Amino acid sequence: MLSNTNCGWVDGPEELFDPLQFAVDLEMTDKSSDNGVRDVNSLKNDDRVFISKGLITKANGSSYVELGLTKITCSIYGPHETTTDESYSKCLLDTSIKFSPFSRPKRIDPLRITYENSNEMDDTEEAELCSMLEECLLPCILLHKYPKSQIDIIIDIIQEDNEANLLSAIVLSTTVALIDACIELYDTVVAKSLKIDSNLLTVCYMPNLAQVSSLFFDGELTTNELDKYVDECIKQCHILHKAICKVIIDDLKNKDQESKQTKIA
Amino acid sequence: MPLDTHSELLKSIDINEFYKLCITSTSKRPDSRSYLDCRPLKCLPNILQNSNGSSMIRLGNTRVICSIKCQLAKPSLKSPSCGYIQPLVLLPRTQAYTSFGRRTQIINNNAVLSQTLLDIILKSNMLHLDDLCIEQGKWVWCVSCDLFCINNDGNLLDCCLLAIVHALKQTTLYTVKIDSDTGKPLVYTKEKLKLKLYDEPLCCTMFVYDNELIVDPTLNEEQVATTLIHVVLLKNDQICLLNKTGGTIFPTEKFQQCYGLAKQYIHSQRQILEKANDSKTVE
Amino acid sequence: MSSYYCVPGDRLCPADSARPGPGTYEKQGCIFASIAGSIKLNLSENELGAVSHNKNTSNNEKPIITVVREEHQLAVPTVGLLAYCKITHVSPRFVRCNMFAINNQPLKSICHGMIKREAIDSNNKDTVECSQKFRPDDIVIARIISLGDSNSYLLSTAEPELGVVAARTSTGETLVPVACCKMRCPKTNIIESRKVAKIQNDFIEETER
Repeated sequence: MLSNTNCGWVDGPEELFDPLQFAVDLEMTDKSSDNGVRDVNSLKNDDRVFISKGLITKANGSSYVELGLTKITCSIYGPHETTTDESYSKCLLDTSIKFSPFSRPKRIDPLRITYENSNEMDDTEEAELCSMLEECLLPCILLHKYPKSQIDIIIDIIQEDNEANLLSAIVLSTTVALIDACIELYDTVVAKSLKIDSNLLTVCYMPNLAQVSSLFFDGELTTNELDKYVDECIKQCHILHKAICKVIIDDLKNKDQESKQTKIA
Repeated sequence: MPLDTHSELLKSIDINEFYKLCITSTSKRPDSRSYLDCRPLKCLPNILQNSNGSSMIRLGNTRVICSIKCQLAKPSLKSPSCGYIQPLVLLPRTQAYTSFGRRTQIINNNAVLSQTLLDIILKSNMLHLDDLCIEQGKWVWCVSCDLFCINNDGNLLDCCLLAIVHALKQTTLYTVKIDSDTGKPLVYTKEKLKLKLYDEPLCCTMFVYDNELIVDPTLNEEQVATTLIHVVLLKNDQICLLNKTGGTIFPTEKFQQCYGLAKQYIHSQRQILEKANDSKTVE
Repeated sequence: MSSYYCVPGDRLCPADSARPGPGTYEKQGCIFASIAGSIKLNLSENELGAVSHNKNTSNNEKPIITVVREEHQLAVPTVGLLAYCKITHVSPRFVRCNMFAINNQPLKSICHGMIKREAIDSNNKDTVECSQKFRPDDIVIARIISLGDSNSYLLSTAEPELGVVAARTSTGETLVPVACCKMRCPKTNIIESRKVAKIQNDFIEETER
């Protein structure tokens, strides 16, 4: 019958194969049309934004964001004290982004991605996203208010839909979590990416100050075209900003009403 | 100073004292539940697009996502007709995760929970590993159950088991035939088969405080509790696993009481699961 | 009465009509919100009382604009604030402690603090013995006097109101303060020496309830 020893978690199979690589009825043309259908849907879904906050009880601030089909949680710990000397007058940011094992069509082995005993980043993509996020956030946090401290930003990507949404959703969730954690910000940063012939343009924008906090682009464009696309991004950013404002202010109103009710009671 | 910050302060100074005060003054728990109330439970099926089956469980503030992913693998030499099942729990990475000591502790907790779940799955016979066999000695399915805790507010084992059962119920496998010439598997993605479940083990966690049995502990209560008791019951109310952690001593009659409580609690869990499944099929 | 809410980055008013308070910042001649919350406007007379009447400059007449979030405030260790701490380590030269609340707001994560021998008591600074003033696990109120070095904040209890507020004997009995440097065990009547905080009125109310 069953023998526990050889189906255990410790000694599982040596090699795993994605069943889709042996698929026979999934022809290439079929696949692309399949993708095409999904792209149309996701274009429609792109505008669908769902934001909720405060779901991680231990964290100082947290958020859960759905942008299209991309789902992300973000939690903020701190500001708490650090032991490094360089942070004496300013606050340090420590960001960590991880893809969950089921975030992509192919399973990512979680034993490899989490809790690595070395501090080195084991995934270059995660490292790149971290540095992009930091670049986009650094200009907008009042770092001098938190001397000798460090803010930890921990992000888990539950599901990734398409690249264009990813950074935008990460920035969105971080901003909401930072606001939830009551950390002082210059502005509510939002980011939007546009896909231009398989090249990605990302604009991180501060809507109230009307300033761009960071911009990433790789590919080939004339300056006029770039201007046009950046304007488009900024327009989308304003929509996202409105969504954040609505969620935050509704939440504040609800909490105020609750506290008033308990006072009366 | 206002009362609520006072109780917050007391909580951070001495959690035991805080709990004692709350229980003795109101005979209710800090979240104003009575001893035998459990938190509201919500089950959402199929929330992930990249998995063969998935679920999200919300029990109060605890949230767990379970994703079932089926991959092909070669069977082991010892049991050539058995597939694999690998539950894996990922606890939330908290702030202190950067410091080495805490991180090893988290990994340890992950491994303990994962192993407990594996034991329950195998002992309860909920899944026959022979069913996962495609061709003996050549190809089998490996079912990976990734449990991702978004937030841990206590009672993780109950949530994880609920999530696994709920997700496995949604799970579909592709039809696979073996090419007799090359020995390669041929996967038909259009033809899907439901994974067959033979049983549904569910867990009820209780703890003892001051000789009183209390169900569904939160994270704070797990710290305060002197003894934790896990009871896993099968569909026919038979005990699949019974675990009492150390701490306070305990007369044997009390286990009867635990069993009665667990039966009641798990029955209501099952009803909620059924309902979540039904609403899915109606849609 | 309805209040106005804002999110970080909202422009509140021009800089010449108000002064920025907590939760706001000034930039490009305007005052912006830096946290999400409800907007409050305080007239300086009400807030500062008699002090501002004396030096009635034009600056002081401007109201202070602040943004407050009632249900969630962020406690950051700042010089001059009071901290609740638990003593962890007593050595002849200094005492180490963990701060767990600042100005009655619990911290989400503890901070490490240190009270040097000279900062324990305002009298007889040179003859102070740390072990006669604090024991591990005592709950102490102290003032943050400096951000300290990379390991810990520097604290001081050299004020009558600061010092031990709650302590237990080695057997777990709660000690009762009897003098500024003595605490008594209610069961055994053994006197233990501590740097006791002068009991404040609100603390008495708290214990009597």
